[in-house]
Amino acid sequence: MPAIPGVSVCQNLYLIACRMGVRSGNWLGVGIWQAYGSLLPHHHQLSGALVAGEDKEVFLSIRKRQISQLEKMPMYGDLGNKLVQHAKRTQNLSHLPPYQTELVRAVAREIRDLDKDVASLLEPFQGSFDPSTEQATACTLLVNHLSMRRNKRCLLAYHRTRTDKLEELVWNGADILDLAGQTTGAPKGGATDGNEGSGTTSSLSPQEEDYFRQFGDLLALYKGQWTDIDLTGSLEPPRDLFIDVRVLKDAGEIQTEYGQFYVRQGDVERLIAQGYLQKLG
Amino acid sequence: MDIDDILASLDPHPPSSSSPSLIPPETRDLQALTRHWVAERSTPELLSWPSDGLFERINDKIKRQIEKVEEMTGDMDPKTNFALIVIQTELERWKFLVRSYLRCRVGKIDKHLLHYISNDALRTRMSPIEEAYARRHQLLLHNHYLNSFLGTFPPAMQNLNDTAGNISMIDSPDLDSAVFIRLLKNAEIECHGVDVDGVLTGKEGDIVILRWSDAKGLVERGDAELV
Repeated sequence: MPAIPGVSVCQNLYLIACRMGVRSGNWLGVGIWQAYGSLLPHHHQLSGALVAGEDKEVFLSIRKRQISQLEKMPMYGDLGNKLVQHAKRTQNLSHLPPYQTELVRAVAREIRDLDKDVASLLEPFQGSFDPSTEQATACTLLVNHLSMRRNKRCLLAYHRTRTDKLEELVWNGADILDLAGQTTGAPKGGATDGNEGSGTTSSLSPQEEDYFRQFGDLLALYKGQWTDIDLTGSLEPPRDLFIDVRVLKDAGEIQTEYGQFYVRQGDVERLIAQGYLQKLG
Repeated sequence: MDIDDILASLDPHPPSSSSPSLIPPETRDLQALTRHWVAERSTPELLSWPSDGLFERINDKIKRQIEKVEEMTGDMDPKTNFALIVIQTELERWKFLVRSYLRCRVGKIDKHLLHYISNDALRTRMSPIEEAYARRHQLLLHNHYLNSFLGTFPPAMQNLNDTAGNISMIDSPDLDSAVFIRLLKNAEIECHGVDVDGVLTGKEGDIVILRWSDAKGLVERGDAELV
């Protein structure tokens, strides 16, 4: 192996490539090829071509040897991918699927493990690490570094998707109790990771419930600055001042200015949104 | 109140609209609000909050109208009743415009919170109320992340504004998305295409579709308006 310059770098790169999903044209994969170019400038002219000459041969042979076992190994980034898939699925759902507590923990754990790896890799150098003499280590460090960032972004994306959903619910006037009640209908969502049965009664994590409440307060505060407008009112341009409604649920006594079922739209929007009334015509 | 007065006050194009000095201030405010509303809804990024007291005036007007409605509700004379319905309908429309405008802005701010908070020039585009809202919202989000997972990270990774690897974590709006503008005077339009850039000579009244990043200058100079 030492006879071929750059082989350890190459091997490392291949591991990264597999882990990060370079086969599917992932953006981090691209970053790694650029890093590869910058690590080996004195061996090959890499501007333009991604891999050239004997490195390509090395790359291919390693690829052949390792591809079968690598594909079976759990890899960095896999869990993050799963989170992103969950987030993507959540975007198209009307309800909020259960929070993936285990998956989130596992991805966060991966970050901590990688961080420990970095620390132990750097330890022997006592702060005098020179990337140009230790290319293999530099490359591993880079991979670990990028894997950590990627996991972080996956976590952020997952949580932001869910908070967006929560905020939408708050804007629509949903109640935290309504959310807790909707879990019974959720578990038929196809490929799930077996987290549904873990004893949680709500599809929200406790942190998300807090967030839901806090955002509700924030919105109430913001709305309070525009009392005459009713910011959560209908975003459809108003056509008629009065509308006919059908009562779907008993809502107790409701005072309106103009008698029972012929009501001013602005007065009953809340009740329509909450499902007490249905707009007719 | 005469029915002609009511109809005249509802007519969006009063005959005097050619000479601006004759337009009553309410109508001008309505036009300004509608213009702000259209522009805000069609651009990818947040536009500046009107600082000329437009919304203070609108708020006052809405408040006065609500009081008027309450006053008039008292007597059940069929004549005033009709006027009341007209005024209430008009009021609902004003409220809708303001609501839609504000919601649109909040939507944009929510989508790119850090982007608008962390840049001084962008921050001034928000009204004080919006800025307070945005800061608090970002704080809530960061706390939520910290409690959910960020808190267990190595300290160096707990920020939300990394720029490692030349990829900024702060998402920003796509300024290259398309908008429609109407030219208010003859102007040269510089456009940036995917392959070629070009210059277009536009006449007053032309309607053009182009990237917001190209249209921005024209709109800010008052040479064009968004439609």
